[in-house]
Amino acid sequence: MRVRANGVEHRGQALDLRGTGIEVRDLFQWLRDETDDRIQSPTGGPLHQQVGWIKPSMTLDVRRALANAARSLGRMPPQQEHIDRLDARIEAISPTFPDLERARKRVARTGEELDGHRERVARLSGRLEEQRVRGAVERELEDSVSAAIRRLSEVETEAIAARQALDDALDRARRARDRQETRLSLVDRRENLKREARAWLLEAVWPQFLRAIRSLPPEVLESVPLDYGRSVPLEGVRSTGGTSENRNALDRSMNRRESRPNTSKAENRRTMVRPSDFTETPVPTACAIVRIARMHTPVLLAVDCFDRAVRARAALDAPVILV
Amino acid sequence: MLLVIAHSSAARQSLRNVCNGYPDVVIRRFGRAVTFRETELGALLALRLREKHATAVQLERTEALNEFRDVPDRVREAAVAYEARDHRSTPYAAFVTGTAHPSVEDLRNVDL
Repeated sequence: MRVRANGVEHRGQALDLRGTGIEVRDLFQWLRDETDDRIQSPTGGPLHQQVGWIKPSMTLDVRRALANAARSLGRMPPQQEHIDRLDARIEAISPTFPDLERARKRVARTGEELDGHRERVARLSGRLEEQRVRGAVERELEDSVSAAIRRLSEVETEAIAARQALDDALDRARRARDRQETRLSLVDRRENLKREARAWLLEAVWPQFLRAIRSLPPEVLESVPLDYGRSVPLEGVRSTGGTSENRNALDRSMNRRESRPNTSKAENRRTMVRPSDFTETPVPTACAIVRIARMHTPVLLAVDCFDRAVRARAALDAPVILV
Repeated sequence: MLLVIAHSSAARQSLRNVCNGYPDVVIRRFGRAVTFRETELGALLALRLREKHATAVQLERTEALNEFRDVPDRVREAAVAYEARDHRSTPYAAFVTGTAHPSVEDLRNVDL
């Protein structure tokens, strides 16, 4: 990689930019921006988003990060093909909803008009009837009555058309909802498959990850400060033996034997370490994930456990920048 | 009554919130469908949901069916006779054969 900042050019796979005044946030942005030429290195993907900036305050979704690490190694879950097919089907369904509001407004408006015209026809006809009884019919009134009746029939036609249009729109809305529901159930299925795929990917790199955790230099494990988040004290990380229930995942993974054919199931469950056990120790966990992944984008290390960049590069097996 | 149907999980959550906030407006809850009292407040809550979730909220106005006013005698009588049939397993289509009761096809496309 090549980093150009403040008029100085830095080259190499292990850089130390501490004390150069470069904003770490900017550096991380540059790494993730394909068009940015201040850093020349491969642009970071989803895994880099998760573990590309290692700092004590980071949070880590261990399962997703491990799944991405497995993908970086070219592992392809058996569910992938099905997921891709579902993606295409989901993409193809885009229900369009008719403008029901306009149709409802039109029905309401024509209904009101209809009522108004019916009233007008009734009123005028009443007056005409009166005049007929008295035997003095005004020609003008007769004309307005027939005009009002003609208009009423027009308005009636319009009201019927409005009603019909609303019924059609409601039908289309119902069909759109059916498609929407189909789409949602496909999305559900895809999400389930994605979960399965992640579990498969996780499984594929889990032993490697545990080995990587154990191979990290002691400084990394010791560097985890005790006062962030709900972090578990790491004393005893390198201790051997002991059966205290309180020991954390790192501790247990350090002591866990790969296979224990003779242990009972209950004990196995107790000593089994799971991805969620590592969420409270994100720094060593992220370091181990970087170590097993194929990472071409430099990882920013904002932790003080590495005094020299080359040492960090060796531990993480990836290009690094101390920041 | 006002019938409010939520067609997305977000709409469903909003509907739940509204029901919890105004229990006196709610007549009955059926998961993603709820009936509201037909008051202006009921209408306000229903319209607010539609405003927020657009097509994911369906609003209907329902009323109780009075079969003596709204349904022709022959339909009502057929329903009564069918429920009193001798063999539980007889489907309606078989039941009406040879009787004066309307067939399924007679009823299907006739507006109530």
